[in-house]
Amino acid sequence: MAVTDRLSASELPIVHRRRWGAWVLGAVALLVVITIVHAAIRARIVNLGIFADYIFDPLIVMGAVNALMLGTLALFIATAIGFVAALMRVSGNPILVAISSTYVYLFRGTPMLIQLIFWFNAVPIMFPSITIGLPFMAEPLFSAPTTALVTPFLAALAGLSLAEGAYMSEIIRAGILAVDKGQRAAATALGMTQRQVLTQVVIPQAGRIIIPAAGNQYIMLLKSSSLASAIGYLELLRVATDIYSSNFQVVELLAVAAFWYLVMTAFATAIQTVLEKVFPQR
Amino acid sequence: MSTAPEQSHAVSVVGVSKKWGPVSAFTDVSFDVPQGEVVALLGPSGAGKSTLLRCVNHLETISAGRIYVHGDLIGYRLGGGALYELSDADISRQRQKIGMVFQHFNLFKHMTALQNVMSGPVHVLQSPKAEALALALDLLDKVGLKAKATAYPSELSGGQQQRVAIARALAMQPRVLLLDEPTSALDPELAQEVVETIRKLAEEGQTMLIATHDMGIARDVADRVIFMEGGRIAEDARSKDFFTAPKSDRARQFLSKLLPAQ
Repeated sequence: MAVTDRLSASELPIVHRRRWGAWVLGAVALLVVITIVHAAIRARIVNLGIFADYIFDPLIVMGAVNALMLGTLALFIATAIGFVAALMRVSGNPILVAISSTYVYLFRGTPMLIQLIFWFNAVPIMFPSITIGLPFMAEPLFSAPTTALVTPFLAALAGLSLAEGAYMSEIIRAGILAVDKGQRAAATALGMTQRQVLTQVVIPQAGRIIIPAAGNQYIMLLKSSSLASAIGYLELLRVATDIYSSNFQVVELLAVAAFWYLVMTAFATAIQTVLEKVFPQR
Repeated sequence: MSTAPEQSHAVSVVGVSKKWGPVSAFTDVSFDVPQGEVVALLGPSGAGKSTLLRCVNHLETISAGRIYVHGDLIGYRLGGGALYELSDADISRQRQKIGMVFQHFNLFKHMTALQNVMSGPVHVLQSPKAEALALALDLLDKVGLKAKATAYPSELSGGQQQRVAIARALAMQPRVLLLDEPTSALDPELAQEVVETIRKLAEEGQTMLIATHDMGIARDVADRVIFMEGGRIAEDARSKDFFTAPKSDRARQFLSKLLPAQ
């Protein structure tokens, strides 16, 4: 004590605590991972040659493109539906609020797979034919049996969009509510109409809040496109399933499909990162 | 639009009451503000000062009475023995000439200081961009913040944000400026720079209605004090008279708590 007391404070070395616990846990976690990977390699669950044969197979790539198209289109439609449903929900009008909350409850509360199969099968039964005509005209402008119109793609798109729209409406509603009331008051006091308040102030600020959650939903949608395999749409999983049911290379083809889903997810993540950079949170 | 008898008054508040259900914010409030006068609304928290200000530009609806700004009946149309609320577009048009400054500044967070000041002229008045830009730069210069034109609100101090907010309101060339506790969210040093800005506007003859707890504003900047308590006007006097010789007991009590040294 006496010695250190005489030293001036700046000469004393400072020794910080080491986080040994985290390093021990890290070592244990690494050991577990190595064990699993080692077991997988030793068991030769994936034949890399077959994996390489199919990774750029034209059918597989077409399936991946179809999945990407379906997921992306569904995201845009779901965003539009979600935006309208969110505005209805915050409108304060009891009828609009009731319709919007019922929609969210039904479409968020039932499995997407059920909804997809429903649109593919039930709609043609409910409306056997679709006719577009003008009043006072004998011949309709357009008429066709519904089964011919509801292709697997359209049914999948409708199913995914409507189900996802319910999730998006909650995300967008949360974004709108997160915009400070004072921002709206200031815009209103300047003389902006309610539409201008929405487009100039609320949407730009809510949009920024929504980006991370919407990115998450996009990734989910890209993977949920695999549900469309149940109604015969030729997306990635359906193509992989068709191939392995004839050659029995189940694990290899699932690995090929998983690889392309990972590529899509990386693509979605990249878009989200760019958007967050371009529109920084202020 | 209907016309009030007193065209010369910038603001006329005639028997106005505001209720939220059974709860009354204020009752039967009446006063006139001549063009160019600066009026401080004083009173304890909950006296209804801020709510009254928000009624003047129809951010809040009223329950009874009428409010005129330069002869225009605000928010309503008189017809068939009743007051009918105006359309969103009509009320927006009335608000263009009534500026407002808020306690928490409420600058648009996604816009720079300059874009904030330009937002009214560009989006509401549809002024040409170049014209709005020149005006906004002038106004930022006037509040001493031309150098901060490209800063976002999050990069500005509270006092700077409030001065930008004042510039944003002035960009609409308002005939009346409503200030809702403009210094309450600021520490004393930053509040002072905002008080100086308001003083400059007062000297230029800008009509202002200021709800405040800031005795510096009420005593040194305002011409007149309206003292509210329990939802009613307890005293309406020249600023000098109010601080030297308050007539009502309530005002005396209020002042003795706020200015214990005197």
